[in-house]
Amino acid sequence: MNDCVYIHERIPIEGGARGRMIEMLRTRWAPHLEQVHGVRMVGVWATVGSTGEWPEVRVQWEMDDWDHFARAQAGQYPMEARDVYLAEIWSQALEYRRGGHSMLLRPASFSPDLAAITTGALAGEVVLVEDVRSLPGRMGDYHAALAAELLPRAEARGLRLLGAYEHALVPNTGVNLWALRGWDHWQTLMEAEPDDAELRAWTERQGEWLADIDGFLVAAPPAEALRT
Amino acid sequence: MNPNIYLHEIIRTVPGREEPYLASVLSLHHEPSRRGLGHPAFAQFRSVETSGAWPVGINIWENTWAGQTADLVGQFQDAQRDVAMEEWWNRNLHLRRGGYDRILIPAAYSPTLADLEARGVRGEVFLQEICWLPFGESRRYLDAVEEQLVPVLDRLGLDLVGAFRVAMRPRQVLTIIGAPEWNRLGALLDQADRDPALRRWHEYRASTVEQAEEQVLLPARHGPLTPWSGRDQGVIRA
Repeated sequence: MNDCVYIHERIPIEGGARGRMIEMLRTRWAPHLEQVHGVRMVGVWATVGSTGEWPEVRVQWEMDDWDHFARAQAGQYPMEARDVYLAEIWSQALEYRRGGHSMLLRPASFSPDLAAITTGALAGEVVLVEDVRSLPGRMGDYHAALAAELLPRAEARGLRLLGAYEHALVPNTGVNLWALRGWDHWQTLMEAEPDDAELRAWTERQGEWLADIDGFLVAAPPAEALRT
Repeated sequence: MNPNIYLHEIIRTVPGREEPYLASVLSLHHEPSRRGLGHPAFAQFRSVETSGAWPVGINIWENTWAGQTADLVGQFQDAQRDVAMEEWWNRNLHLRRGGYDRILIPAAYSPTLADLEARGVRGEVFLQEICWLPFGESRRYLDAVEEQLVPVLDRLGLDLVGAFRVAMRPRQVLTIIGAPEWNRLGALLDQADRDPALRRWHEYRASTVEQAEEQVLLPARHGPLTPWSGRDQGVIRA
């Protein structure tokens, strides 16, 4: 059982500052949030523009539970009054981004927390993100089917589940995160897709629970590698 | 059988800068350090205030999964940097604001760039359609395009430029139709209710498509499908 609470942020980037935004999140933002507020960074990624929106950065934070969520948020906001360092780096980051969109997420029971991701060495350089919209009231059924039917098939193909979540505030909205072994693994999966009857059957069956699902890749580049 | 995949990029250009942006992309072909690299531009379009969102530019690159993967490795791993591409990206921020890309998987009958060139396909205007279909319908929809729509296009003198599924987005398909002249697009629209075969196609579409983004497009001045002189079909790296 995973009782954690997550915030998933989508951050449109100004110009060529994607790499600098990621470096700031890794080297300043994440250490500060963890040391002062106990908030852990699950991951920070560049959206792979060839598969979705660009330029964009994604970052996900983990808190222990709703009590921790409330303490951590109360400790940060309003940041001008309660967290002078956060206020400073938030302002400095205006050079890299002007706005964003955050989702408050609760995990499915089988979704691993960061400790399990770390222990199991589940994370990878390339992650498949799936934005999920369920039919009204069917997210729970979708997650049950995902755990029982898709997860074994995905693991057999080398994918590792990093998370399956539903929005805590917006009904019938969720996110899945799948770690790939690397770029070659993605190429292998894509080349096999047209003839993979088992996954095709799953894809078509998703209409029982889902209104839509959009997949795209995000990548965790090496330190200071991303210059766009 | 079309063995390729296609990178489809919708670029939110700075207003009025569509053609400079699209030409700038092609200029990478002439970068001395990058000659001989990359894959060909399949098509380049710009928006027109006839239908759909504007201003945008559209690039479509013909590639393979291996080539696409190599491009992404070059972008996201420090060992295989494409410095010329990075510098180009950062030099041209004044021409574009961002974009949205898809990787397209062609139907077997969807033409390759070589097919289009062999047939001399050019167009004054193009119609791009992105459709959202029920789960499991995308392949059937593309079959219907081939069986119902393509014969009508042939009869009216229009060209199918592409018919694709979208990788990792199972409900989406993308099709592009080319018209050598505007009046052929007009004829296609004029015949929608009167031509029995076209009416059958539209009845299928109306009963199947749950959402659609239609866009009327012009060929980019230097792109492969432009009917005007001065085009540059060089091999370039997306």
